[in-house]
Amino acid sequence: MLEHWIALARGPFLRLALLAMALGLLRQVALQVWEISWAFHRAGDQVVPWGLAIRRNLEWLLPWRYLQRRERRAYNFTSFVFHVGVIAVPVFFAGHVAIWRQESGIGWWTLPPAVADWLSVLTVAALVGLLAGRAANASSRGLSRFEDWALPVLCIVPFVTGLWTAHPLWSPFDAQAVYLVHLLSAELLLILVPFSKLVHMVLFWVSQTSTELGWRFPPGSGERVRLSLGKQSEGV
Amino acid sequence: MTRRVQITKGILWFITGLAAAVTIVRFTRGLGATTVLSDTTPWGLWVGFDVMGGVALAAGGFVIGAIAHVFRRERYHHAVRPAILTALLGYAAVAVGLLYDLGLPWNIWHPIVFWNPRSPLFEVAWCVMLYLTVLFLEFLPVFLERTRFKGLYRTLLKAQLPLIILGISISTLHQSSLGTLLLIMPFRLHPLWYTPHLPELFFVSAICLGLVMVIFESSVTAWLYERRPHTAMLSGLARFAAGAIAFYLAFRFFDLWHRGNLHLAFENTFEARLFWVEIAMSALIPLVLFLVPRVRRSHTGVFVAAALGVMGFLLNRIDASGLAQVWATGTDYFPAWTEFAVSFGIVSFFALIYLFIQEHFPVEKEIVDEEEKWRQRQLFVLPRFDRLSQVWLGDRTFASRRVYSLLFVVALVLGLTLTPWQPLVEASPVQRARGGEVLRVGFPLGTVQFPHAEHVERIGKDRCGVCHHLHRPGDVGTPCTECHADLYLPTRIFDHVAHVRVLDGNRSCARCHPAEGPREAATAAKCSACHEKDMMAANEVVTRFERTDAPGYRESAHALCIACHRKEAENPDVGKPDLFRCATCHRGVEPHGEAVLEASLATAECTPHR
Repeated sequence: MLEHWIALARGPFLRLALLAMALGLLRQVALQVWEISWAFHRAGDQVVPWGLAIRRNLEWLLPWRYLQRRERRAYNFTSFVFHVGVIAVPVFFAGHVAIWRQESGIGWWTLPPAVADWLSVLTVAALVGLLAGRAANASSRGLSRFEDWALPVLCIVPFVTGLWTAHPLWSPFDAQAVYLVHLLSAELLLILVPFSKLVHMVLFWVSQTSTELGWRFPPGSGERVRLSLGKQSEGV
Repeated sequence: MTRRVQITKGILWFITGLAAAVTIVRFTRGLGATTVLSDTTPWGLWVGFDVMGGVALAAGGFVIGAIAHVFRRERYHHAVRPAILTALLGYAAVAVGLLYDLGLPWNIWHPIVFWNPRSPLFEVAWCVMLYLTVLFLEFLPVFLERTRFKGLYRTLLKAQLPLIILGISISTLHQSSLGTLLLIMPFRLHPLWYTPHLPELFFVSAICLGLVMVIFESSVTAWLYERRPHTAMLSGLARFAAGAIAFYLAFRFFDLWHRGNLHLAFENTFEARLFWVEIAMSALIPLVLFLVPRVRRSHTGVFVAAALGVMGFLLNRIDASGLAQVWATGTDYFPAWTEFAVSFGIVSFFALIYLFIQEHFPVEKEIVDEEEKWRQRQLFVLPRFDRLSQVWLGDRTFASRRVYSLLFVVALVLGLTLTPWQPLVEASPVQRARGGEVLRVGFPLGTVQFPHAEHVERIGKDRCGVCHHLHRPGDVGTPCTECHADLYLPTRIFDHVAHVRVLDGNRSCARCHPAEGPREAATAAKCSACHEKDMMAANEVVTRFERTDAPGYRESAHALCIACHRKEAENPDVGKPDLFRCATCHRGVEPHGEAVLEASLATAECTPHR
């Protein structure tokens, strides 16, 4: 019974999830580029700030800039650890790479199994910590939307079940059921990537550029803002 | 942009996404993975709907051009630009649809260089190319009207009348040459459709379809953009359509009566029913509706009549290129979902282009001006935010762009996941029966244990031909699998190339074919004329010697075995009334042997099925 579902989850569902993620992300990038070019044509100063955009990207990608910040140091550090784990474990876990090599003939460097295990544990711990940090701080609690709570919780599931799949002896549940939950939760997460805030995994790279361009108002913008607000009689 | 347009565009984008997925599979994995076409049914939905139907749908361009410019009915000037746009996009859609259909699509340019003036397809190809060019030139002024190329614009406007006349001539040739295409299959197309006057009939029905299509399309556009339709123009066109349809009906029925085939329409056959459905939808009901002045003045009435007409004449093209050939081919072809996706996807894609051009270029001035005003207004609306996520939604153009691309991507992903990426009709070659006294036959091997020696003894040593009705040249007792080579698919057994080679090339046509009349299987000399010694006479079981393809192994074996077994079961001397039940032969079916036995005892009799 479960074998049938596992076969489905490993075959068509996995293909569907990967395709949905890839094409969905492609759509997001295409829309973003389109909108940036639109903003560019309407901008007052039509110079693309390449240097600034690349510098900002690197600054936010590497940890020391925001680790230097005074406020919420622990939270920022936990977030960094989580991001390392959430990328490294799914991509470089030996079992996953073996499946890629088997299905497509392409393989790459893998994490030593012990490192992968510890990194998974660390990631789960970081997720719990992040949820706690979000709940503890009143202002971030106020800013949080539904997906800010749901996605970290959903993220914990494939990591825990993945650990249990790699080490069935640690698991209190039926190994096949655990494997099925691992597959389905990971696929759900993949499908959600282009349609939730997880889309930042591709839009992160362009958001700095669009922010820079977006603030360059063309001449006469003030007039348009007044028109939109219906306050033509007042001064800018 | 109205709500209706937005919803319609969303649906069109979704269908286009499905078609895009199938397109990827079609051009990487071929026709086998996306269609259920076969040698018996090489023409499917894509030929019937996309090519034959598409060309006829585009007839509005030349019909309205003729009415407005040649006969100078000024009232119909409104309809010229939309009709020409429809024709242009329709022909482009035909060219795109043809790419899907061609086995070697990269050879589509061949008719330009390699001329074969005797082929109707050659005429079709050249007409499509020339007419597409003419239509583009006819429509170019619309693109140029609000640009700075004023000189070219004025020159093209001056050339408008000659271009329209050229378009009418090419269309006349082309619409009729699609009918010519069917003239080469007088024994394949059912006599209710086949007539030597197919070219003329296709031309007349194209005029009818062109007229109803223009009515249909301008009603739909008016509904989409929430404008009042040009009532006077539509009822005028309805009157023209009524005349054309009346002429078409008279032509078709007179031709049927004249050839003595009218009685076929009153027999209880699938073709007769199909014929009446088609005639009712395409001609009878629209004609009656168009003749009632009250219906002609009502938008709904005109729209319903036109919509019926469009579907009816499309059905006519689909009948002629497929459904009315089933009686001769015996095919059970039904399009796969991928074929529907491509057909509707091409229509959706070109409908989107149609709407885009309507909204950005002066095809109908009211629409484009309204759109321009709407776009200007969008610059000054207050920002809107999503209630749940508090994310800025942008203006309406921005938001709808997000929705359309989302629908497209979802459909694309669904399509790519659902398409099997492998042949839809899988060949299942049959293995030769093995064993001496008892042959193991069937698929997988050994499903049926056939006591050959026992049958020889019972039927008689000199009556092999009851089953072995045809031998390979120089052979006796040729096994069934030589010709019935696939379990389900028919096999082509007549090798024309080999015959031409052995019989000394083109000088030998007359050995088999008559000097006059069509050179095809039905009129050719019977195989037995030369291969007497290789063939047994037709018996009560094997009658269809004239076929040049052998049916699938299962179909033929079932027909042969069950026919004899049923006869013997009724014979009181044999005393085996259960002889024709499934389990009589299917004893070796594992692991379901018992179930088959029970099922066969429960049914009254065994019927061959697929």
